[in-house]
Amino acid sequence: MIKRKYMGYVLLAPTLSLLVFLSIIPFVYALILSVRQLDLKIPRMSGQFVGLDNYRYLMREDAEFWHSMGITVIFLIVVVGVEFFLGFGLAILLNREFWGKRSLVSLAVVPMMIAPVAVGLMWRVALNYELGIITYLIKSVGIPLKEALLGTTATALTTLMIIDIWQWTPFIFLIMLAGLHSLPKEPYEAAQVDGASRVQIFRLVTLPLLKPLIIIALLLRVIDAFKTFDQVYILTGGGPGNATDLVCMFAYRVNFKLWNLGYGASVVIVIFILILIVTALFYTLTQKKEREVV
Amino acid sequence: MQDFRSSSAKRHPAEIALISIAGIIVFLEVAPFLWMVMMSFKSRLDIFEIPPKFIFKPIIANYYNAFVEGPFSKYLLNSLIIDSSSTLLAIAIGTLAAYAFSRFTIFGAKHIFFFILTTRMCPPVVVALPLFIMYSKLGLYDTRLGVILVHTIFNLALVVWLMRGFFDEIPKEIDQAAMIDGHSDWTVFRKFVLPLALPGIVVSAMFCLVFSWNEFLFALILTQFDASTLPVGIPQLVTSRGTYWGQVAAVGVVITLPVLFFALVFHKYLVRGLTFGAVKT
Repeated sequence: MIKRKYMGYVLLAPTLSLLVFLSIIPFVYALILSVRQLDLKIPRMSGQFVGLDNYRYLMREDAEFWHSMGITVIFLIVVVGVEFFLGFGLAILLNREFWGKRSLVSLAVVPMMIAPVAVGLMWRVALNYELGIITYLIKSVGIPLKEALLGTTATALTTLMIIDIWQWTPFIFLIMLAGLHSLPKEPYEAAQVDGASRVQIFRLVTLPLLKPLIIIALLLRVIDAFKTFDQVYILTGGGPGNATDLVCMFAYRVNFKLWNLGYGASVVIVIFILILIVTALFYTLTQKKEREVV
Repeated sequence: MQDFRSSSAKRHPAEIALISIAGIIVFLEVAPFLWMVMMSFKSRLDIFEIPPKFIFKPIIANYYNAFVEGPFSKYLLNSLIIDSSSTLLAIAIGTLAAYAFSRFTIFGAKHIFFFILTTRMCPPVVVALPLFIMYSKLGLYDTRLGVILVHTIFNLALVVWLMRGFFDEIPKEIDQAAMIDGHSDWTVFRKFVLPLALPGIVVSAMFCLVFSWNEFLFALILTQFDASTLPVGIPQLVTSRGTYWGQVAAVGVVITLPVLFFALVFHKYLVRGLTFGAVKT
């Protein structure tokens, strides 16, 4: 018979031990690697201690890293912004009862549930220069297309953004629709009695009520968009050049293509810290507002 | 916003127009998938036909080539085994942890709860290389067990976060009444709380199944051939001699169908699952 005082720890033990084995140990390993110089391409390199040199080089000199951070930030702002407005707009549009609504909503969420790899492939097919339906449609409306959209530096990142928007707008849509459904009726009745216009009602009643939900949805999207890897891997591999080298792709390349382990570790630690900040925001918000959110 | 809902009986032309726009957007969301399904039944010649053919003689050669002649039946089996095992494992131990957070005092509970979340939010690439080295040394590289463990971890955070919410919704009075009747903590959990939490377990399990089924990066770096999953197999169809587009589409359809089914059936719980239980619907 286990004492009640210890029961919680006993229940938690399997989860924590698995997490220690597969999360903490690898993470500490990465921390240790990040202060060493270890490049598998250079023979007989023993991984000598170099202090913060890797981080220093990363922060001050590595133009490729900063390029990659730069386009990741642009990617984040554009996709999350567009997804928010499209998704929220669509939710407002569909926030009414009509025949076939349920199936319409179920269909709309399909893109975000299917494997990112499958998404990448679908678009790769559709955008293929010789046989892609989208290439065909673009050409048939009279826009000349000399190269594949994903194969041109000027259009590759934009194309990736459009794909992400296609895939994730339903996420915002679904959450905001759930939010709109759950709004209490009283404030609206009160606002109507006061003679508020529709725009005023939206701005002064709907938006404040939905604010926690909006922030949660945006934070989750930011985290996920920051992690974008599968689609890049399938669609462009970071190219052409490094036009679509989003930061997770960059980290993957340094580690698994260049085999520069020490430096690669410092890259992933920086990525981790950035994600940690956003996750902490999400955590504080959901825990504090737990009972209030919807 | 609310006034629309009540006045659905008579429709404005404007409203019909709005709904049509929504319909078009939804169509755009599913069109690439429909295109892929069509393509999976086309012959190589039909695939390359310009302008694209909508009427053609459907063939199943792509499926046959990928799953019977090619290695995809093996990958499919791996996917099924890894998916179901990691889900079972994550549910089994994650549910216990969630119950602990919901009902017992744990020193530093808030911090541990946050830590568990970070394991999910963190991009896989952060721990990928250390895991790769560890797996090589431990003999877990390219084994199903290795992928099962890593997918379990990947899903644990979701299970703990979701299930905690479901447990919190079960009144504590039920536990207390059972305790007064002289049942032990374990019996209370197993006989009284767990049955009530069953819907939550089903929902969590479904999400685990989807995420493990779709997971790519870990499976990519921790396997070579023997334990490769379906998503990892697909890029192999893009070869230096050209891409087997028909097979790519066929495998894409097979990967997508189960998830599609899930999305339609568990529609009601999608928001809750996707927001880690932060939004309850």
